Formats: sequence, C-alpha cells, structure tokens
Amino acid sequence: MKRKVISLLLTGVMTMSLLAGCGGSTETTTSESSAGTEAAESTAAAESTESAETTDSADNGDVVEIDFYMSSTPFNDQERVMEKANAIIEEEIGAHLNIFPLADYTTMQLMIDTGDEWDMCFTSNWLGDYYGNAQKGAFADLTELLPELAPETYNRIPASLWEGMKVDGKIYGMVNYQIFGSSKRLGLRFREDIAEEVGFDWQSVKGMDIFDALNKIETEYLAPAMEAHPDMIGWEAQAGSNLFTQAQAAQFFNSEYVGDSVVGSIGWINYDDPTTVFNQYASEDFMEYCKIMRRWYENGYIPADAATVTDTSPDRQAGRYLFEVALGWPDDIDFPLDKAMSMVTDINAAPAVEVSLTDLVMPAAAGPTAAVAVNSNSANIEKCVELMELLNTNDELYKLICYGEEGVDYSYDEEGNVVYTDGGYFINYNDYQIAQSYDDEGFDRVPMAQNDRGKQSEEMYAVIYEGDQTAEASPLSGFVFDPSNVQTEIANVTAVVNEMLLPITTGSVDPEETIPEFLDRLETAGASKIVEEKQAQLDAWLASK
Amino acid sequence: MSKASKSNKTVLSAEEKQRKKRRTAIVIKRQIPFYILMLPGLICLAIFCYMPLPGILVAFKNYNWREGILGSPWVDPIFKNFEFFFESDVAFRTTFNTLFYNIIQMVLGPALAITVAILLNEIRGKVSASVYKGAILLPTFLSWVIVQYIMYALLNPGRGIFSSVFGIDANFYMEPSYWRVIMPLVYLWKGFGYSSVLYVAAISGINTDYYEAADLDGASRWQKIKYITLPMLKPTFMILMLMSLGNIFRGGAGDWQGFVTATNDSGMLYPATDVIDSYVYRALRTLNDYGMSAAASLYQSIIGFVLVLVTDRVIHRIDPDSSML
Repeated sequence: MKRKVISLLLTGVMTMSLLAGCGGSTETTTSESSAGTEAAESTAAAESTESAETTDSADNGDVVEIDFYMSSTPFNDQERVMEKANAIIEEEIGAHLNIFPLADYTTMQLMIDTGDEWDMCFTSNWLGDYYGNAQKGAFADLTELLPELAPETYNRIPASLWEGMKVDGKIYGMVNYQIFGSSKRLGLRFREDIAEEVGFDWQSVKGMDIFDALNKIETEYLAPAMEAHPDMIGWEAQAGSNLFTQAQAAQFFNSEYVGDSVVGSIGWINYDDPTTVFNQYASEDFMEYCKIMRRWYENGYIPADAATVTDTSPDRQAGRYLFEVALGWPDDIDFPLDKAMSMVTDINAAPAVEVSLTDLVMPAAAGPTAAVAVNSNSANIEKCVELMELLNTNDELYKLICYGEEGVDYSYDEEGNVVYTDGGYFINYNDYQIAQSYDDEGFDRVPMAQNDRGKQSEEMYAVIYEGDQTAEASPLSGFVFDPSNVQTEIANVTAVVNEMLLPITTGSVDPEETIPEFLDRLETAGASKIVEEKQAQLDAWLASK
Repeated sequence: MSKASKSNKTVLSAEEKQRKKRRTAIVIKRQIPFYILMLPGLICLAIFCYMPLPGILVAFKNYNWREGILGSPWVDPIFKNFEFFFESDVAFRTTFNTLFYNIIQMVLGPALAITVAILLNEIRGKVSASVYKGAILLPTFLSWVIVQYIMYALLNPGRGIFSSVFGIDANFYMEPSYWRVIMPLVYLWKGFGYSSVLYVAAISGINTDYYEAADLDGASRWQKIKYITLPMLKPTFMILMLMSLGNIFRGGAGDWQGFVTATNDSGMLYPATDVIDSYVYRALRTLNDYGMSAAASLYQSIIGFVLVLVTDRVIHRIDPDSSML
C-alpha cells in the first residue's frame, strides 16, 4: 500500500517536472516537450470540435434559439411575459429569445473566456468589458451587418456614438441609445422638501465649481439638515456619489478617464489640456476632495461604516440620502419636473430637485455606456442583429419585455401616473440593457404618465435629443486603450486602489497622512508606467488622426 | 576465484528474482478485490487531480480561450506571469499573514481538537455525546457568508451586539490589529469540530485492552490519557499535520474565503487580513488574466509540495513509523 502511494506521488513529480521542462524551452518547443503534452493536445482538440458542432446545429430547426445574457437579479414572472414576447418574435423573424439575468456579471466574463455557448450579451465600458472583449475577438464584427440588417437601429442615433464604439475601426456592439441621452452635464440632486425646510437656495449652485459648491452646501444645507434629521445620511460617499469611483464624475473636475474607467483605472486628461495624461490621485483636486470628505465624516454626515458597507440600495430606497450626484440633465432650473431621489419610487416620499454644474459634453465612452454584443462564435450572428432591430423597432415587444403587460404589471392611476403592480413582472430598472428606448416617432416605448407631467417629460427628452446632436464631442472620442503591455502594473494598481481608495474617499482616514502613502504604493505598483503607456498610445493616436 | 563467486551470485539472484516475481504475482492476485475497492477512488483522483494538470501550462502562457491552452502563445520572458506577485509591494505582507495565521492554526487547531476529542470520549451518555459532537461540528458546515453576517451582527459599530449590549465602542472593521485575534478565533471555531471528530474516531479505534490493563494497574484517568491515548493518536496527528503543512502557503489552509467575507472585504483591514489568495483574487478578478492567476497558484502548490516532502523525510529520520512515504 505504502509503495502504491509512493509510485502515485512519483508520477505526480514526474508530470510536474515534465511540464516544467516545457516551460523552460520557449523558442525550441522540441520533441521531448511535445511528447509530454500530446495527450493534453488531443483532449483540447476534441473539446473544441465538440463545441463547434453544437453551435452549428442550431441553424437546422425552423425556430432559432437565441440566448441573451444580461446583468440583473431574477425577474418576477419571467415565463409568462417571455411566452407572449416570443409569440411576436417567432412570427416576425422566426427566432426564440431566452433571456438569462445574471446576478453576478463576472459569470458572463467567465462564459466568454471559457468559450461557453451564448448568442448575445449586455456589454459596456463599465460592466462587461466592451473594449477588452472586442479586442480579444470575443464579439462579432457588426460594422457591415448593422446598416444592412438593422437600418433603423443604426440610423436613429448620433453618428458620434458609433464612432465611440469603434475598436480598430470596427463596431462590435449595438448601442442601446436611451431617451435620457448620451451627452453629459453633471449636477447635484437635493431633497426638495428638506432644502425648503432649512431655507437652502439650491438654484444658487448652478454652474459652480464643484469645490465651491460642496463647501457652500456643507454650511447652508448639510449642517442644518443633519441637525433637523439626524437619522438621514448626508452623502453617499462610497458608491454612486463617490466622485473618484463614479466614472462620469470626472467631468466635475473638467476631466475624463483615458481609455478605461473601471475601478482601479489610472489616467485622466483635463479638457483644457487634452493631450496630457495624468494620475488623478496625485492631483490637488483629489486631496481637496478627500479633505472635504474627511470633514463630513467627522461631522457625521457620512456614516462610520461607509467604507465597509458598499451596497447602498437599501438606504437609497428608504430615501435616507440628503443629496447625491445627478447624472442627468436638463436640471430643474432649465426644465422643472417633479422627480424623486434615486431608487425611490414614490415621488412624494422623497421629492428631489436637480441643478447642473458642468458643461454639456459627449464623452468618448458614451457609445459603450450600454450596448449589446453578439458572440463571434454564434451560429446565428445575423439572426441576432435582426432580433435587435426588431426589439428596437417593435414598440409592443420592447414594452412587453421591459415593463410587462399593461393592466397586469403596470397601469395608470386616476391622475394618469404610471403605477407598477406589486409582485408583477419587473426587470429591476434594467430596460437599458435590452434595447434602445429612443424612437424618433415620439416617446411611445417607455410608459409615460398620461397627464401634464408625461407631456413635460416628452418635451424634456426632445431637448435632450437635441443636446446629443449638438454636444461637443470629447477630445478622446474614438481612442481605445490597449492594456496588454501593462497588465502586471494594472493588476497591482487595481489591488492597491481596492484596498485604499474607499477609506480615503469616505473620509474614514486622515487624507493628509494616507494619500502620500497611497501615492507611494501606487508608484511601487507601477502607476506611472500605466500613465506613460496611455500617453504613448494617445500620442500615437493623435498623430494618426 | 573472485570471478567465479561473482557469477555464482548473479545466478542465484536471477533465481531469486524469478521466485520473487512469482510471489508478487500471487500476492497481487490475492489482492485483486482490494484493488477493485480502490478503483472508484483512483478514478476520481485521476479525473479531478491528474487530468487538470496540463492546465499548469497556463501559468507560462498568455492564455486566450480561442487558441486553447496549448495554442496560446508563451509569455516572454517565461516567468513574466510570476512577476506580478513578486513585484507587488504586498508580497511580503501577504506571505507573512498567510504563514502567521496558518502557523497559529497548526499549533492551536490540533491542540484544541485533541482536547475536545478526549473530553468527548470521556462522556458516557450516548445522547449527550452526540449532541455535543453535532454542536461542535455545526460551524464547519456554515458558509462564510453566514459567518460574515453573524460577525457583522456582533461587531457592527453602533448597532452590533458588542457595542449596543456590551458597550464596547470600537470600530472593528477599520482597525486591523483586532483581526490578528479575531481571524484565528473564527477559523478555530469553524474548523476544530471537524478535526476533533477525526480524533474521536481515532480514539475509538484504540484497543480497549490497553485501558483494561491500565485499570488493573490502578492508573488514574489522567495517566491513561497521558500514557495511552496521546501516544496512540500520534500517527493521526502526524498525517493531519503533514497535510496542513502542504497548505501552509495557502490562505486559511486552503479555505481562504474567510479572509474576504468575514472581514466584509474592508480595505482598511488588509494589512492584517490579506493573505496570498485574497490578494490574487482581488487583483485579478476584474482583469481576467488567467496566466497570472495560474502562476500564483502554481507557486503556492510547489512550495507546499516541497514542504510536505521535506518534512516527511525529516519525520522519517526521527521516527520512521510516523512518516507517510
């Protein structure tokens, strides 16, 4: 028995040394190493042919099965609604759509990386790594298919968005253009009732520099409001209102991320000097922002556990935030409209007002903010594009999938407001992942209140659409960063940022002490190498323009 | 003369070889049923432990699934995937933490488990013994997420039991030094039940004749434990020790999720709670770089493997009966 164990272990050692042998000989992968790996090769080959066969087989049937993956918690009552939706899809284009909501979207990346079977998926520059997967060749090239098979989808939206989708001159995803627009003008959102209560003139911060605004808000709004409502939370410093993790918020500092904008990305440009990449954490703005956050933390405007509690949706739904970042425009000065704080469904529970601070810009990342990509290995690439065209043009189908059945899942009350049925079909506000909500014949694709407010919304969306057409394009539009030369540095920088950024930006630690340490560690991890690499690629791109 | 004797010897040994061969053939034949019994286990071992071994190649490759494990290009230089870990400024910190917690675990874990096993063995009531065993074993089967919430209910500043009931006003999730104590406690609490059950099984395997003889000689309970139970547990202890040694470079002896979940993944605790695995997980999870992840894991495995072999040889020197090989 003992001997058996020995021999087993010895085999293990031998296999290890054999494989290590393979590793040693890069240029000369000679016969000795290939003998050891032959077995593995044949199994790998067998696997790949197998998967190719199974994907092909789908074409034979009358109805083509299309698997669509998106990021969401499970939908209520999905079967009932999908059955109705598929009746339409089958009749129109002879396809059957299966939607799979994934609660943890890293699953999608695993499916992509392991060559799993899927046809379409939601992708973006902030979730689903659009640029990375497009560069890897995981997504199908749609540059020629789009105008041909999906003319409406293609022609409806500003050309600058398609420009932003291009990777090496090719389009790998279909933009889910939304009625709330793609150009950005950032602002802040306040509790209307509380601002009134403490006598804060929210309109006065319009167009202000972000730091002046934050300081003014602190004394005139936060301090008295927190005193009157000690159970409220001043500012969601860890997530949606974190100006250094919320990618779009760079615009508050007149800046934009270069290439990628996931947590851990290093490298901004300033619109006043759009050819120089810099490390945003080494900027004075970062220090100043963190000092304000520190003050707010010490005053109790930011909760003590902000750095560790990252899921803020329960607090948002309970309407506990006093003010937050508003990504939408126009604000309530230019276009007054009743609204609530984010994730609050009942307007009266937490009425809100918004005010814009920045200029209107079409960011480089506007295209892949929300898009749908097709698997380059799918047997039904063309069918997928046809399906997207159908979803984008058939209002009945789109509304069914995104909002359920009228009268069952949502209805209009006496005042004409949209009311979602409790426990009805609901896709957790993820309609933007399914298709475009914009329709140039009007705004019929989203259930709008059938009263004056609804009309107002439509007017507002018309203003936004106009804005998208005229917004100044970012100086980075069309630039794509290829991170392969600095992967090691990115891995280490990401780890450092994940460790230190939240405590610093929530004010949980003293910024004057911690930021220098943070910068030192970023430097060791290779932050300046990443900045140099981005600068080099940007220079090359600018030169080629 | 000498030549003749030499050839004689070879002839003899050839004969002996023949005889030996026959003997082994007979022995093997007799043992066929045992081999059949072993077969399912061996097949599982082959499928789950040996078939994935070629995957080690990924550590030296710039892996992309399109070209597969063998088709993907080699990285240049060949150890580039390993650079990421050794170049990071936390290589020392995470290695230290990993060893720190594992050594505490290796010392306190068996001590606690053996003590509890002996105590359990002294309980005569059948019902109470199984109730205790079940209660001790339960934490082992709790998922880390449940442990995370139990701890959060205890430690949360302001609303937690420690602060609201006992008035301990400390923000546990922001102060790394507490966790040098908390983490070993949690791992002990979660893990000792499992190993004490192993020891209980080993104790019940001890021949009762020894105890009866000791009773006749008038040995006290303590003497029986000291001179019979503990020495008899040595082989079990050694094997468990060797196995945990193989995992010494893995966070939490392989069960590293606790360092991510139980701490609420709070960045401020990393100086005390970041182990190699949790660092690799955090750095590479969003990057999807399989080469670097595989390299980190290969490094841990090789060190663990070498450590097991070396220790086993050392044990063999000291006490040949307790070694595995």
